[in-house]
This record gives sequence, structure tokens and C-alpha cells, in this order.
Amino acid sequence: MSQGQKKDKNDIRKTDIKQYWFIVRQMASREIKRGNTSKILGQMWNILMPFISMLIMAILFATVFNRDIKGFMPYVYTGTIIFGLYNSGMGSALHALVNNKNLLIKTKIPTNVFIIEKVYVAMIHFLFSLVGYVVILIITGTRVGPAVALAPLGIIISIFVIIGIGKILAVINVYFADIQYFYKVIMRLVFYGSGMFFDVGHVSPAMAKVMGFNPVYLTIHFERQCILYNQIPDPMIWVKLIVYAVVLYILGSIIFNRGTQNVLAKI
Amino acid sequence: MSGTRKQHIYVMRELTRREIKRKYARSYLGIAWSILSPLLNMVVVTFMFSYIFSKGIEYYPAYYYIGYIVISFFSTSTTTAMTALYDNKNMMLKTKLPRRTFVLSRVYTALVNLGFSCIAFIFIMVVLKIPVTWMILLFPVDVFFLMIFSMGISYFLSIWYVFFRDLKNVYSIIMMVVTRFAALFYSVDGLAPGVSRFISFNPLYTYVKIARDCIIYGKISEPQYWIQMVAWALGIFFLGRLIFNKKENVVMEKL
Repeated sequence: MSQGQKKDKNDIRKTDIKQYWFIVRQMASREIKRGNTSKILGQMWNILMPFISMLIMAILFATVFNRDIKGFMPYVYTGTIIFGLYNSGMGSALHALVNNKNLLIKTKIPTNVFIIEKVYVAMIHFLFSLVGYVVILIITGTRVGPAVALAPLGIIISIFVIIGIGKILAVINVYFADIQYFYKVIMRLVFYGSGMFFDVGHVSPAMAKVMGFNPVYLTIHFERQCILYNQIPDPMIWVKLIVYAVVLYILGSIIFNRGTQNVLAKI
Repeated sequence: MSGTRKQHIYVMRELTRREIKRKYARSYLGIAWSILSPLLNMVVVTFMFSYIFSKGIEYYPAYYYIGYIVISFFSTSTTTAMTALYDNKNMMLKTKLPRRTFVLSRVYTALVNLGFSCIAFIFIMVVLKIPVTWMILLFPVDVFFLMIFSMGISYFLSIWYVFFRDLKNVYSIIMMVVTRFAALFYSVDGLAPGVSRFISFNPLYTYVKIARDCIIYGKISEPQYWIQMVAWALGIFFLGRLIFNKKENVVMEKL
């Protein structure tokens, strides 16, 4: 490729990015509208669902573990909404290529957009669930300190993890549909292994080790430290999360770019 | 009369076959997933919780497995049946099949899945060396009543869904409450009395408990559970059927 062509490509890229972002938002708003079928409750579901889910878990496990329910609610809630972000981001990215067959074949939209759009929708749902989260923080009288400023960082890092894993899953799903079932089982492992309703101290040492490598658990722990306990998250958590984000994002992009070249033929 | 009945059964089996085929359309392992996924789930949960929750529970993996397959049967049958009328709009308008068939075929599909999951359970019994007793014959009775119960709920949901599309969200919340309070991976013994009482009235817990008692522990559950088993099933079934018969014509207009 000559120098001139390269420069051209860069120019095109800038306007393209704007266009792509526009497409992402269009697709996302279509999906969000379709998801909430009723006009009455509409977006309320995005606030209500994680809230009720938290409430059920908090009531049940506060009695199982003999914990004070008041302090337990924000503890559980931090876990459930972060798990929700991961689960809906990765789970919908899994179907991103297969379900958009028509768009993939008929249009020249870069394949990347399909993944980004899914994660974007998950992010919007997550932001909605934050409304309920703030309400719970206020009701339970949880005081936040300056460390809360670090909280968005943890979420941004996990977005990269989600995109990376989502890309890998989407490509695999094109060639090997059974991944959907494996994904479900693995997410159950992640669900119980992300410490939504217990501390690492409660589980077997082997399990605690496994949890230490679970990015969902790491993110939850990170957010709990900076939101609920006003602490700067442990250095090890930073390191692990950033390594996950960088490695998975790059690996995901490589697999995705290689994989999608053949995807069209396969679909 | 019996001729048309035979026809309906035939249609229902065809619908079920279609349903299963569609579900596993692109998958290599296909229906084997009905065996594999509860097994894998059991392995996962046992690995996680044998430390926290298994205290005082004999044959913990089997305890979880039975609960899991019983509850999955209920949840898949009812959630898929909920959209049955809506999904089969066209076919219902064009054919004279009783509308119930479409709802029931979803329940039947889930039953086939349950059957496969039970095959894997034989393997678990052998591995864990669970003694087989005559009480195991009570299990089909339990499943029968659970099926009746699921049908009743399915009738009701499929009708309501046509009018109220948010039902999907509402129902998933209800399922969340009902399954979390069904003692799937923990025992009721350690809980606060209020919570364990609440669980003991949960219809799903009733079906799970009877199944566990007769298959794993070789005993008959307390009479309270047997009464609940029958009462829930018959009550809900007739109520669901009543609503379905009353409203099915209104629904057809709406569709």
C-alpha cells in the first residue's frame, strides 16, 4: 500500500467513525424501543428489574448468612448490577453476528458496529439501573467518600473486557452454535462465583482462588471498595483488571477481524 | 370423537417435534443438551457450594440436580407457553385445531426435555451410590401433578400475554421470586422460621421436595406437601382452563 492511499484511508476513517457512531445509536435506539413493548412502563423496567432482583437476593441471603439487611442491600446491589452489565453485554454480543445476517450481507456496515451496539445497549440499561442504586444508597444511609470518583474507571475498564469477550463469542457462534449452551453454563459459574451475596471468606480456598481470576468478581470488588468503603481498590485488582481489558480487547479484535472475513461466506 | 382426538394428539406431537428441532437448529449436539446442561450446572453448583451450603444435605449434587430439572421444566414450559398463542397466530386463523393444542405442545416439549434430563440422573445415582427404593415410583405421580399445574399456569399466561405484552417482564420477576425461594441449592433448615414457612408454601418447592424425598431419600414427604401438590395442581388447572375457555374467542379477535 502506498503512502497516499494510507493517508486517504485515515481521512476516510475520521468521517467514518462519526457515521458508524450514528449507526450504533440508531440501532441501539431501535433495539431499546423494541425491547420495551409497553409504553406505560417503558424504561421503568430497566430500573425495576435489577432492583427487585437485588431485593430478593438480599432478603434471602441476609437470612441465610445472618447479615443485617440494611447494610447488605447496597452490597448485593453493587454485585447484581455489575453482573447484569457483563451478562447482557456479552450475552447479546454472542448473537450479534448471527442475528444480523441480513444487515451483514446487504450493507457495508463494518462488522465491529454490531458488537459495539450491543454493548452500548447493555451500558444504557446499566445506567438506568444506577437510578435504583442511588436510591438504595440514600435510603440505607451509605456515605460515599472521595474514592467514589474512581468508580467510573472500573466500569470503563470492564467495558473493554466485555467488548473483547463479546467479539470472541460472536465469531465462535457463527461456526459453532453450541457455544450458546456452554455460555449459559459458564455464566452460571460466573453468577455464583462473582461474590454477589458473599465474601471470598465464605467459600472454599480453591473457590476463592478461582474467584480471584473472575473479572466480574474483580469489578464488583473494585466498585464495592471505592463506593461502599471509600477505599482505593487494591493494586492487584487494578493490575488484573487492566491486564484483562488490554489482553482480551486485543485478542478479541484479532480473532474478530480474522474471523469475520470468512463469516460472510459461512452465513 | 376418538378420531379427532387422535388427530389432535398427532398434531401436538408434530408441533413438539418442530419445536425441538427449531430449538436446536444450528447446534451439533442437539437434544443431548437436555442431558448435558443440567449435568454441567450440577457440577458447577456442587463445586461452588459444597463448602457453603451443603452442610447437612446428603447427596448434595443429586439434591441440586432434582431441584434444577423440576424447576427448569416448570419455567421453560410456562415461559414458552406464554407466547404460544401469539406466535402461532397465522396457523390458528387458518386451521380449526383447538387453540389449546398450541399451548399444550409447549408444555409437552418441556416434558420431553425433562425425560432426557432424567436419563442422566440414573448415571448420577450410580456414581453417588444412592440406594434405589420402591418410593421412586412416586416420582411420576409428582411429575404428573406438576404438569397439570404448569398447564393451568400456561393457559392463563398465554391468554394474558395477548393483552399485556409486559407480562414477559412481570413473569420473569415472579419466576425470580419463586425459584430463589424454592431451596434449590440450600437447605430450608438453617433459615429464619418466617422464610422457611414461606418456602414451604411455595408450590414449586412442594414439587421439588416430593421428588427429592422419593427419589433420593426413599421416603414419603409429610402429608402437608401431598395435599399442596394436589390442591395447587387441580386448583390452578381448572382456573386456567376456565379463563382460557372464556377468553379464547376474545383473544382471536384481538390477534
